[in-house]
Amino acid sequence: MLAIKNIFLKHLRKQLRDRYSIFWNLAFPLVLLTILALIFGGQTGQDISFDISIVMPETSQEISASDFAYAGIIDEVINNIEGSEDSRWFQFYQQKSDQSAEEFFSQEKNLLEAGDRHLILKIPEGSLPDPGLIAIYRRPGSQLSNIAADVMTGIISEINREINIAEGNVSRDQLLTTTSRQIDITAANGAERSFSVTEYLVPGIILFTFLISGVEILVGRISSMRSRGILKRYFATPLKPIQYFAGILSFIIVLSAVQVLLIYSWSSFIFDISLNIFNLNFILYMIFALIVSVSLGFMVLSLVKSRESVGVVTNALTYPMAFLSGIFFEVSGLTGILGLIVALNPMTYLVNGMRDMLGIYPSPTSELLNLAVPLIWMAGSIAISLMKFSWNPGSES
Amino acid sequence: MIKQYLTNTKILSLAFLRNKETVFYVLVLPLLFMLIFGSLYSNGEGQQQARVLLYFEETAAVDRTEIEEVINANQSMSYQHIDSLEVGEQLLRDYEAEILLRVSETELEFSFNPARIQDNPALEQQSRTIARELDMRYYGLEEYLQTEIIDAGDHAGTSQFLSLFPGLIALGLASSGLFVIVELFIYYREKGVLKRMAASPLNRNSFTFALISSRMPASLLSTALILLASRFIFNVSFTINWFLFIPYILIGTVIMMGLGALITLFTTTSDSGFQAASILLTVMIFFSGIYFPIEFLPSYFQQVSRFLPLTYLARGLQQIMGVSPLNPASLAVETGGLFILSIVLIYAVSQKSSWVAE
Repeated sequence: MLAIKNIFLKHLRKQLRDRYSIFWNLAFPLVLLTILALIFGGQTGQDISFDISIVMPETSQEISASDFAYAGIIDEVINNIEGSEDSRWFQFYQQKSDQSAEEFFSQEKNLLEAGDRHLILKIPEGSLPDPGLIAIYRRPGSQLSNIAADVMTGIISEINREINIAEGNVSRDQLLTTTSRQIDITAANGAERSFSVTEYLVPGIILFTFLISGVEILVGRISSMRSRGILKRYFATPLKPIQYFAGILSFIIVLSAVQVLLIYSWSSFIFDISLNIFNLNFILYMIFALIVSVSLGFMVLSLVKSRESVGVVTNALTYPMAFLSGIFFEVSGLTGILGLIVALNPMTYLVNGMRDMLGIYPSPTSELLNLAVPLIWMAGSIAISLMKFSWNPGSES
Repeated sequence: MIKQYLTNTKILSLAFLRNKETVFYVLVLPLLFMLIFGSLYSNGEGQQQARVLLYFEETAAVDRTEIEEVINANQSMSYQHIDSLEVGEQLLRDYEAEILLRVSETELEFSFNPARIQDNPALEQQSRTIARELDMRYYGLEEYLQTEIIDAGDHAGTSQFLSLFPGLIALGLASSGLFVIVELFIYYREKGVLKRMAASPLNRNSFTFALISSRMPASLLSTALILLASRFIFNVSFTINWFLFIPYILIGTVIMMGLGALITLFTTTSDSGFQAASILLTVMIFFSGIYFPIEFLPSYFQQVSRFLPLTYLARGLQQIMGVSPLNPASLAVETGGLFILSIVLIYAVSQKSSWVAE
């Protein structure tokens, strides 16, 4: 028992002494969660405002909506938006009285290309009932510009409807209202709840840390000590391999537990979300996920002997397993070889199972698969490890 | 001296390419990311049909055939009728469909799966297209005000998908260049390599230049692999200004070396130097806008990108590869400024560093 404790403490001290390990293993998952939640979760939605330039035709200055000129109609719509609470979403820019439309358009196009505007609307001359064409200039590389274009297209559709009603082409009662919504998510206990990106990410980040612990930290430490002949020297002492294994495994378990607690606390305090991660089923499933990761790590150590190759193989394994599993974002749309990797990846099923158990998102794969596929990987990895793993391959010592 | 330089460049280039770990980071990792993110973003480019589930209430005001015709007229969508909303919502949750349309007496209600974070903006746009077309066809509404979307700068294809490839090339340059100076001035010193070099008639500057040059074949190879893979896997081709492109790859590698030199000024051991470079590389991956749009980050996070050389490298490559409009003045100022700063930093580190192990 003392030997196990000493091995455990050795790895723990190494972890605590190395500030970079502290960053990568403890701080980085929190940074990753925060960045992804901000990018995908729209946590800063209240700060978003679309900068839109309105280029009116030269003749529009004196025209009002009552003249049925498009310039006047659009001008009135903009005034209505600016006077409503929707004004916080838009910042409109219009030409000065002494500025020509072409001059203003050229100036605003430069600003659009430079990223200082999201959209330019070029309002046509002409009036009802003749058709008019509004040119919407956007910057397709910018998500916000694309969204602004969608929003303006929707507003113009509404204007068309209103004009049709005003023209007597159709009555308001006849027209169908168009609405959109996001479906509720049914939790494991049957209760319906709204979707939260941050909640969706938390199990993914937890699983990611397990993957790193099993496939990178464990493998990195053992391969380093193995290649430098330290393990060979260890096992020349009364220390048995099983004691070393128990010691390093205890370290991985403690590290993972600390990571889970940190992620949980961070998501509670920073994002104000509360997940019931302390229920027994979820804890058991997390332990299962960690064992799968550790067994994958031992499979790598069994098949790849040199320390340099181990580093490459673990990275080549970790990135696809993490990105092609839905840990960070949904990947069901992938087809071909990548779709096959998603389907065979044990992390796909583990993350589905974890989200389902926490009531965050119902698993698109069955409970049976969420257990069976990782179990097959675990059994295969253990079988390969039992046949091939060596604490001391000998060739490099 | 020239002979020394050439011999050292050859030896160091071969040593670099023999190192499995560096080959992975410089050549394989960008390709891996290209496969993953390229596949994800290309789905948003309308390559896959959006599956629309149609649920008609008994009192539905619109005929089934009307909506079917609208969807059939749009090649980016397909439809399937369902018997209940519950079934439809379950299919959405299971990622078996993208849009659920409920048609009632007074309403067209479009539903989406909130977990499809990256797809939903495009799906909402497609839904609006259905509603608009239906207005025109069913009620015979006049489209008094028509809209035409024009992509600024005549670069119609610019999108997160196309911007990814110059970004990946920039990442390859970063992986190739960032660690060199740390390796040269700290790791080699710790291992006593520099001490042995100093005892030989080897010219110090010749060795430094040789090491810098030794990374150029890797940068060019990484770039070539990404261009070939983008062509054959994603069928994407770029209008590359080759006269600028090749020098830019070499200059970009030197710029990343300059960043490595900056790290070297603040670190004392090779381990901390490599770790700091890794952290910086990770920060650049997230905040330079290569893989994820940074527009939704708070403004103070967005400001971080202004201080990252990878942002400027990716932007420069986008311009040179025809993904975004070429702005020669800003390209020259940004690249020239970073290049000069990098040369100064590399020179400062080479003068400050001792070749004797401490």
